[in-house]
Amino acid sequence: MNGANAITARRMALFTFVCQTGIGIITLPTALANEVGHDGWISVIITGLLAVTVAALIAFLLKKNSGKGILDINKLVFGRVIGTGLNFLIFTYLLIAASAGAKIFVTYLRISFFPLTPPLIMSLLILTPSFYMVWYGLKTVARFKTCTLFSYAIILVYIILIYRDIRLTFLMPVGEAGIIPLLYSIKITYFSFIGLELIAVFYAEITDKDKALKWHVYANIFSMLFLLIITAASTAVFGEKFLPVQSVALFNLFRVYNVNILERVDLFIIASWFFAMGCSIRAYMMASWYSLIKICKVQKNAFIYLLYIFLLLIISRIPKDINQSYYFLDIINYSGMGITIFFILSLFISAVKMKGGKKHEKG
Amino acid sequence: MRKKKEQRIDLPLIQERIKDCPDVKQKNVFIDDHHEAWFFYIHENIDNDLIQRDFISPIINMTYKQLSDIKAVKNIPNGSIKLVYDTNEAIKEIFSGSAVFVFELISYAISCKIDKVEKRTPIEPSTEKNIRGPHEGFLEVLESNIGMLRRKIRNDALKFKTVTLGSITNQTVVIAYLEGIANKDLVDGLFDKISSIKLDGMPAIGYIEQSIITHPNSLFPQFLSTERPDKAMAALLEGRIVILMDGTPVVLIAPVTFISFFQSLDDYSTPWVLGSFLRIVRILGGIFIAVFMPALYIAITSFHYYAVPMELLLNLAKSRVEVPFPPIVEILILEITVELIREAAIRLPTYIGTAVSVFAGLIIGQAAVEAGIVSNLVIVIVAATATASYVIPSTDMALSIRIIRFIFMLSASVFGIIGIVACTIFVLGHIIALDSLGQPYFTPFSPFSSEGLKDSIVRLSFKKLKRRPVETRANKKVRSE
Amino acid sequence: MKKVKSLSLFVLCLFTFFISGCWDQKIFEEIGLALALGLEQTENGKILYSMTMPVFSDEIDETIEILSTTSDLLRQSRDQIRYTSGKKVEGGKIQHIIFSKELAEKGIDNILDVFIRSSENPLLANIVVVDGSPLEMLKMSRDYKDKPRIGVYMANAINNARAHTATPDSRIYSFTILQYCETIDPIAIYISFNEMGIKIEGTALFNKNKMAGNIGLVETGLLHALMGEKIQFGYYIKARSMREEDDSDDRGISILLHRVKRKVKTYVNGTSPEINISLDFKGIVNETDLNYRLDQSKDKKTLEDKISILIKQDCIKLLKYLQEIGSDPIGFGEIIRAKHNEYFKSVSWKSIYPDVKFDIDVKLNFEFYGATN
Repeated sequence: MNGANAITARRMALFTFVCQTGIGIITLPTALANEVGHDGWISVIITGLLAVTVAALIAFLLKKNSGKGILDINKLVFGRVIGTGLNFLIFTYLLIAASAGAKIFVTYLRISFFPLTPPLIMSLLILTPSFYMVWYGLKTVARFKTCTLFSYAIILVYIILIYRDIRLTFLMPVGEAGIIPLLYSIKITYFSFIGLELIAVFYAEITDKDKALKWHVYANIFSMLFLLIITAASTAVFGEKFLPVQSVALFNLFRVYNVNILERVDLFIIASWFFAMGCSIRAYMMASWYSLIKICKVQKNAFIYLLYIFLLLIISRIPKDINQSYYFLDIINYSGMGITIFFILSLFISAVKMKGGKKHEKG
Repeated sequence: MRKKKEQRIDLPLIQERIKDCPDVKQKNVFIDDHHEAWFFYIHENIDNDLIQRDFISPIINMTYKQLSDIKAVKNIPNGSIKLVYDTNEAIKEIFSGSAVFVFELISYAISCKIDKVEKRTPIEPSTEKNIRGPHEGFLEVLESNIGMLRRKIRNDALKFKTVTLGSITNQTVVIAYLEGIANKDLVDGLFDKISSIKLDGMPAIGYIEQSIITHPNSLFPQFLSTERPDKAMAALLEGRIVILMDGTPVVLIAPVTFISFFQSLDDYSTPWVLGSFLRIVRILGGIFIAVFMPALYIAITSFHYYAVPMELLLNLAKSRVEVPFPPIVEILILEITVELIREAAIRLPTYIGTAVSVFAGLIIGQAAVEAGIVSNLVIVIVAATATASYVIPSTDMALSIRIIRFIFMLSASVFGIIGIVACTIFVLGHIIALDSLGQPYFTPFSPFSSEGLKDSIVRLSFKKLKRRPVETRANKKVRSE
Repeated sequence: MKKVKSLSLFVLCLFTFFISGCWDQKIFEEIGLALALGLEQTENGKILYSMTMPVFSDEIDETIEILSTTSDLLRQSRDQIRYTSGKKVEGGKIQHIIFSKELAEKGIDNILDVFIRSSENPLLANIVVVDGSPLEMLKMSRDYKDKPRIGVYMANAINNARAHTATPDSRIYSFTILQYCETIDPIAIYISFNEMGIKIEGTALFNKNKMAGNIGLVETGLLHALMGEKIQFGYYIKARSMREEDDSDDRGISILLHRVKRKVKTYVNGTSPEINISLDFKGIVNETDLNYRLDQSKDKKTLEDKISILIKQDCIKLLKYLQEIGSDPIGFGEIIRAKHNEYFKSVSWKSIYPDVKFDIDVKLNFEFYGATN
């Protein structure tokens, strides 16, 4: 089991990067346009810097805690019973995040291509590869992320290709929204950076822990840059008045380019982006499955896995329409913030305890 | 006295065991004109001239005293004289192609291997042709194959570990590796795995492969099979391990990666730009065209009509209007026909085979379109796909790609482009989870290795390819200058 | 028993796969591919929706199928048309949306909503305004013996015109973006038709979402130059306009303007803004019968200056017309909003626009003049 979950610091960074940008990017431009007009990109920078700080803090505290993951640390800090209870809460959060992600993924699929296909069949189709890879462990899941880099490359090339439709005046005047709305918008943008806390769940599996801090910070910086590019491009193409009207801004961005022979390329680019979206959900599925195995202290077995799959599918059926799905995502957003703060507290207490313990030993 | 009796070879037991084996000859001789002794050998598998000259003749002329003297026995002028102390082993020797001399008055039997096996000339294997490399292939006789490898690698580092497998057939299997370069743990692990195979016998090397494979249910081959000695030699130099088996010219190479199945000697024997071009053509054709083209056609004509280019739209619609079947049925009809022709062509003699392919081409081509069964765009797609799948040098991988194509087509017909995406993710995830002899299968893409990328989709010049591939875990990472 | 159970389960699953069918399947040849969509007003205020689809069957003589119906909403019209046509009409491949001039003048408000909402529909369809009735044009196109089907014919004509900056690159997405942004006015392709074929007339200008006027082919080129976009259009000057000595009717010069650098500077003085535009053209001489030695720098400079003055006059005329009809396709409102935001918020741009002072500076340079001088 250990071998199947071993991961290097670099790959953990890639894991975090894809987890953050996979789903968060799609509705971010619209949400920001609603809140701060054309200054969404400033909000991304502010939230990005905040996320980088939080990520660095978590990675630093993990380093001080001698290489244990958050699940073990909770048990040490709060005692076995309360610790297990808190771990169970963490598992619930991760499971709900995975289900909500799966539901919104299926919803986007149905908006883009297949409105009439039943959602359960669609979920089974797109989740089966994820179930397969999660069964094989974190190593396989993380290695797959390397293959999704080509989706990012395609999008960046596309943004360069639509340079003629980009109007820089749509991004001006800079800062018109004002400081207070920009600060308020952090809570919207933070949703795109959720995923930085997963390093705490998997920390024990990282093989070269001394590089983990550096790479985790890099991952968040890259996420911020990517989100910045997409937000700025969407605002520059659509303008702050048209952007709030759209529900899938990123996919609409793919519909504006006219290629010589093929005419429309949105079909292929959206299909390639599904790789990244699938990876984003798979990250949470892996985290929730891993924490379940750790909490129950069992070897992975097919029966528990089937139960887990069943639970995931049931929860993903709870939101009845797209508005409820977005509401679910909001819940995940706020829970994610809470969970991150809780992780930092728990790690801090544990680090202090350890330092105190060491001092006693020395004394 | 009792000890001596236990040590003796049991002649009646041997004669009992060779009953109903008319191919085993028993030659009765008299030592010192007095004591009866026997020669046992399989007449057809022995070089009779050499046996008479170098084995039977010297032994008949030896006295009882000389035969009891081990040193005198070992002076018999033949390279492979062996002393056998156990009756069962003596019987094994007889049936393994040795001539065995049994004399009840001495405690051992003398075995001599002078086999003359029918060997064909080493011609280039028909499934693995190339332009600039040698045109020879392995034979069915293990010793010849070992000899070929030794002629190519004239170095004492080339070692062969032998093991006899097959509880009934007693076949010899050999693991070849370069000592000091190949990873010792991998060699030992492989040797242990092979030694623990329990089968009656192995008509082909695929039996060994399936017994030691870690993912037996996978569609993808995890060992590279080849009949070319130059490929085996190149593999050994990279630090890989070669498995040879008596009775088959096909050898297995491990550990390999996904991209190894798309490499051929021509990439390396031509300058690097041309070699890279060949490699890219092979990968583009073998993977993208062979797998994605039919599935994309089905997805677009069944679900995403708006993706058809304007110029193609009218022609496509015109040709499709006459066809009564949905796109998936249309393509399946043609694909299955092509698969049937492929399978039939393997078994047909060449002169009929050529006629059949022309006939089939005509039928599938013109007649099917005129009859209104298929549209002409589908003919072009299926023909391109069939041609593209032949560029893959490895037949195992070509077979896997063929099967995957069907899976892609079926999922595209039900779920359109999302079916293709889901299948791609599944196949990629599966390839990443696979391993060949414990080494990750999708190196250098997925456990990312920038060194490995220099010899994957392109083949950079030899100056840049200084290091051995990472998956072989070689002891000496750097190749010689 | 276990084997039987698992086998029957497997077979059941397989059945569900095939029985339920594919919910979103749209088999290519069963679809009626609408290539052009025409919209006009009827007498009682409803919208007449006409559509043309290519016909592929050998047994039918006509090459296109034209259907029309009347309703309030586009999707409703499409569904109604499905009952007349034998095919499942889909709009995913629509190449042109053709508005009648009257409907365009009344306002293209939310008509385009269905194109943005459904991801299957293209955002790349051309927005065309026709001087007349789209339905009549589609019907008349059946008699164009020497032209391909109307959808393809129009696409080719528009692409060729675009390549020579005779008509704008106006598609649904750009039209809608500009409609929403309210500081730049959209433009559309303007055509007319007769028994011989269709003719690209130039550009239809809009004030917000109502058509306010139209300009011709050369003015379209100048408009694009003022917008700072890529240009490649021919400019024809009669000798008379340049006040040449020999100003007989048949003398003149034809040049090709193929590159422009535009610089816009805005100043806000008091209540009305001033906008300075400088255009730096690069051109090629195509045809001339005037008495200029183009290999002499002095002569060349004189000719260039004279033509620059003419271009400047044409630009001023164009800008005056735009101010008159209240259309701002060049986006001066957007530039003022970006650079002088406080001022922009304090005024209503549409009411200020007619009073804006423009100062244009045009430079022209002939890179080469062909094989003769």
